[in-house]
Amino acid sequence: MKVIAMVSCLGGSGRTTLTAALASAFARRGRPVLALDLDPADLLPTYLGATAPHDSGLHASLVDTSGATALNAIQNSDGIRILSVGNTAFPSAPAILREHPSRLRDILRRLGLQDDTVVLIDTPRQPSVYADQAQAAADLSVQLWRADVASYARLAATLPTPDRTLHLINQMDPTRRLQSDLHALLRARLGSQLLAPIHRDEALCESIAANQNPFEYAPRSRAIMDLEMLAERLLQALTSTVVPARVDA
Amino acid sequence: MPEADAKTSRGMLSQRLGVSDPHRLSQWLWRLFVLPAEQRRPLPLLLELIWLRLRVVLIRELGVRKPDSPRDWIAACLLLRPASPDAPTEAWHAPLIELLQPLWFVLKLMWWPMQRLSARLDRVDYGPADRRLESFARLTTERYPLIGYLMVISVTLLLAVCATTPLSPGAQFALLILMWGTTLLLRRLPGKVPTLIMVGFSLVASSRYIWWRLTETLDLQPGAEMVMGIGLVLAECYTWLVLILRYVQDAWALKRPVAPLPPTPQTWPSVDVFITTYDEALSVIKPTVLAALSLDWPKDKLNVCILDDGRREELRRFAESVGAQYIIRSNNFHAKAGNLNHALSMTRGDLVAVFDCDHIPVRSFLQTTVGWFLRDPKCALVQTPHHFFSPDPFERNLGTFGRVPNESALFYGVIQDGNDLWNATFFCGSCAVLKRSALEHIGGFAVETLTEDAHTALRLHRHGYTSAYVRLTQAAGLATETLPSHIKQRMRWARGMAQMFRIDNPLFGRGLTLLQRICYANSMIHFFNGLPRLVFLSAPLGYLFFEYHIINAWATTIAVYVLPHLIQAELVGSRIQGHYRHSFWAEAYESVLAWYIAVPAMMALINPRAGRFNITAKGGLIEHGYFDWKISIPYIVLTVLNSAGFIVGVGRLLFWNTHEIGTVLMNLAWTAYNILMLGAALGVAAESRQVRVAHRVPLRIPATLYFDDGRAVVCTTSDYSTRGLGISLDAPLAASIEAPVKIALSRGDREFVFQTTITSLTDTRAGLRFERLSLDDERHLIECTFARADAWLDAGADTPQDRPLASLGEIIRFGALGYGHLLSSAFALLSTRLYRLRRRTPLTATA
Ligand SMILES: Nc1ncnc2c1ncn2[C@@H]1O[C@H](COP(=O)(O)OP(=O)(O)O)[C@@H](O)[C@H]1O
Ligand SMILES: [Mg+2]
Repeated sequence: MKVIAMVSCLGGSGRTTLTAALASAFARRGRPVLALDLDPADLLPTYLGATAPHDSGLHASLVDTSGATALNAIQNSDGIRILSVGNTAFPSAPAILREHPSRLRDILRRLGLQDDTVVLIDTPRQPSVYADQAQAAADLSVQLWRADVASYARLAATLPTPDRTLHLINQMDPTRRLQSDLHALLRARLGSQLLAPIHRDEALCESIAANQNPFEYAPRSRAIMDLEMLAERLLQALTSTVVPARVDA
Repeated sequence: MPEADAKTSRGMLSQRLGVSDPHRLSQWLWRLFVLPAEQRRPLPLLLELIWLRLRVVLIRELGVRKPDSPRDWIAACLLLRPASPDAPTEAWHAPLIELLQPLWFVLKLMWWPMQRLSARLDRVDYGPADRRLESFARLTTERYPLIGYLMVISVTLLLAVCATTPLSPGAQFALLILMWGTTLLLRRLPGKVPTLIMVGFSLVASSRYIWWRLTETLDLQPGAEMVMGIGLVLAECYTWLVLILRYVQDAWALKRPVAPLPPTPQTWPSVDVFITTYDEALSVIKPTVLAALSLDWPKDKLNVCILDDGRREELRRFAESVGAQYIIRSNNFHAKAGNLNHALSMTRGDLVAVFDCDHIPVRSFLQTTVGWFLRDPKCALVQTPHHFFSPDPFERNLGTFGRVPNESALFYGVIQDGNDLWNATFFCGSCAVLKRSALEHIGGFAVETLTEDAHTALRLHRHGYTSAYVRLTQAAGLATETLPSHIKQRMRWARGMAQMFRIDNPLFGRGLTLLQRICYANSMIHFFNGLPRLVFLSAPLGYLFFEYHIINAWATTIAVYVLPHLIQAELVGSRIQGHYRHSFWAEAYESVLAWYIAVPAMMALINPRAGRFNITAKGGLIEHGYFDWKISIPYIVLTVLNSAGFIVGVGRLLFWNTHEIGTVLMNLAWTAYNILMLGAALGVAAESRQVRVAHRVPLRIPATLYFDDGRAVVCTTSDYSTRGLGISLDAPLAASIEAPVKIALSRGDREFVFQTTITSLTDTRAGLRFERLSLDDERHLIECTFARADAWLDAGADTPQDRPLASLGEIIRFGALGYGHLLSSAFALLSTRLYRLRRRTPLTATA
């Protein structure tokens, strides 16, 4: 089991979109995929094709310290299993989760997933206890940015970045000169921690609107090619440096 | 009414034979001038019918695919049948094959042990042997030069013995078979040892041949026979000499690596980049200047200079706008060399990089070359190959671009690298870096000859400086456009080299090592190949027309001597140069140039001071395909002579010289070979249409199209020109013609976006035209395309390796095509003349 958390301190940076797209990318590579939606906005299932709300019990089991709550995943036509916190409010949740930072990790352990399963976690905008849970459970966090001034300013404030984190610029638009320049600056700042960007591409939104797998909807579109490469790169990162350290631990 | 009938039957004919491919000019001409009734005297209906039948039969039997193309008829007569899927399988030769089956089996049985042997040989690892050879070579050159000298002397002695030992024709034949068989096995093995053995065989075979020719075949009758015989033997001595020198030059390529620069850019030398121009258009110069400005080098140590001998205001303004230095002088003395010398006096960088205005450097040019100046303080010159991204006249007119290595590939692929081993690489006028202090020491660029580049290098070597050749394509440019301009350029080189041979002969004078002398001499002597080539192209005619026996020997004896000489040399050539020059192409290239460089080279040898500097026309445009009659006159004369000789020869074979069939056959074969080579030369003279104003350069890099509606689609570029891009698509594009679209190309990690308009669109390709490119855009465009460090690294990697027989087949095909061109053009010319005559007659009658 390899766990990837998609996190970001910016709203609308594409966490949900990219989680869904990456889930499809890994599924296409023949990996069993479990997509977790920790965002109470509950959008990931929709992005992955769910048409009706569904309570999988994830939120309940996060708060339930006894560990007896049953989980109940749904599965889409690409074979991606989905667990979401749903939009039922648990007012006690933040406090409990803050107290038990590795709740999610324990839950995932107990699931007894196959070795080659990829778990992708969509999170609410940081700062958020859910995002913290996701990062604590993850073998690898992907921190999303945009090539804009806000990102650059935030990044300057948050350095140094935690371990096991790679940075990713989404919605990159090279037709804007400023974006290209900021991209160059971010690259200079982050070096090898910065992944190749995902370009802004209408085809990605269109595929979600059309409720289709983006890789089938527009296979030659720029963002899809970027995602293919990103998926390869993440698998490589998961197998090379990061994972052995955690197995030892 | 017979005339009406004839008309309708002709109409039927024209319908049935309707132009299958209206885009082919030759067919179009044919139809234009041949089919309309006014052009032909009406044949009597009977004859017409007979001809029709005959034609149908001929078409069927010969398998002519397009009956209205003379080229196809010729090809069909030569039994060159392009494989067509609907061709009926001929049954007539089936019994023959059955008959040959046992013979085939026997042959296979005999070949079996050979196969086993070669399989054994394939399993041996030759790496250690090669490494031992390398280390031994290093030992003898660096530590114990005496051993090297002793070896050279003993090898020369051995060769002399081998070459002069008399053998009976039978024994010589056995030697032929032995060497040939061994070579066929050896040539499959990798490494330098087999190469050296093959070179040895070739030296033995050729030297034996020349020795035999000189000592046993010159017993000639005084008069014409004597003159021709001596002429031929001299031409052969020339080729022998060139062969030996070429082996010295080529057998061991240095393959010099790139010398890395120190990590501290502050210590790197400062560089002036000289871009010389005379009258070339700004559109040609611009990419070069922009690429030079974006060379990867500390900006305060890089000074780009435009050296404009045309003194054009437009260029001055351009230079100013991009931040290049603009240098002019008050006169044009000594052409390019004078221009460079003047610029030397105006600048002060440590190094000088020289580019012709149409050679676009890639960004890593300085990083890959300058290291050698730092590593070797005596180094005064680093040369890189010239690469051409547009087809030269050979490639364009024969359609061999990218398939057959072009004329200069051999020089930059093998010869310069071989020269480098002996520290004899010379400056080629462009794509090179020189050291200012060394240039100042020798008094600047040499101005005495037309080839100032080679002459400058010679001076540097004479003064004890060293040179380096880095065989990495770090710049690319336009090839000569038309055959006349190509010939003009070669004439200038030939003249310049001959001048140097007279004024500053590398064989004499101070400061050079023996091997430097040999390398330089060979490069110069090479340009005297015109006369010998003409001798070879006409030598068999003496016998065929006048029965002169210019080689006094039996045909079979000649064969056992000349065959190993030719075959071994061809096999070695194919091994050493296979990737850079395909077999038999040297002859084809030389045949085209022979007539034109023979005279200037000889004239310059006699009077080195005569001669002007010619500029080669670049960026031209050929509006219509045409046949260059003026330039082909020498080839046509030679072709007619050789063809007549061939016909006479057939007569000799059947009637007059039946007592020496061998001699006749040999001369016939020789003439046939000449006719083929001349055919290829004629093919080059048929200039094909060149419509594009800006050159389309094949360029495959990933790109992204950004549409206004937010879609971003991945594609690959297919070709590039300064006006637009061609792209290939994996899936049909939802877009329309004349729609705006942005295209992003990347340079390293950075993407640059260019505004374009779609000009053509199919399911798999699209054409884009650039819109409103600012100067910055143009710079970025060059950086993303021509100036990418890896732009040309794999250039030539996909030209196929030489296969001698396939190569011969190709030359034969080109020969046939050349004659096809000649005939159809002659026919067209004749028809137009006739047509004009006819039109004029009634006019004068009424007047
Ligand atoms: N690469 C992209 N190209 C174009 N639109 C994108 C891209 N990534 C995300 N979007 C769009 O941006 C919006 C916000 O994305 P979302 O995934 O919901 O962000 P988050 O989950 O971070 O709030 C959505 O409308 C989504 O379709
Ligand atoms: Mg979201």
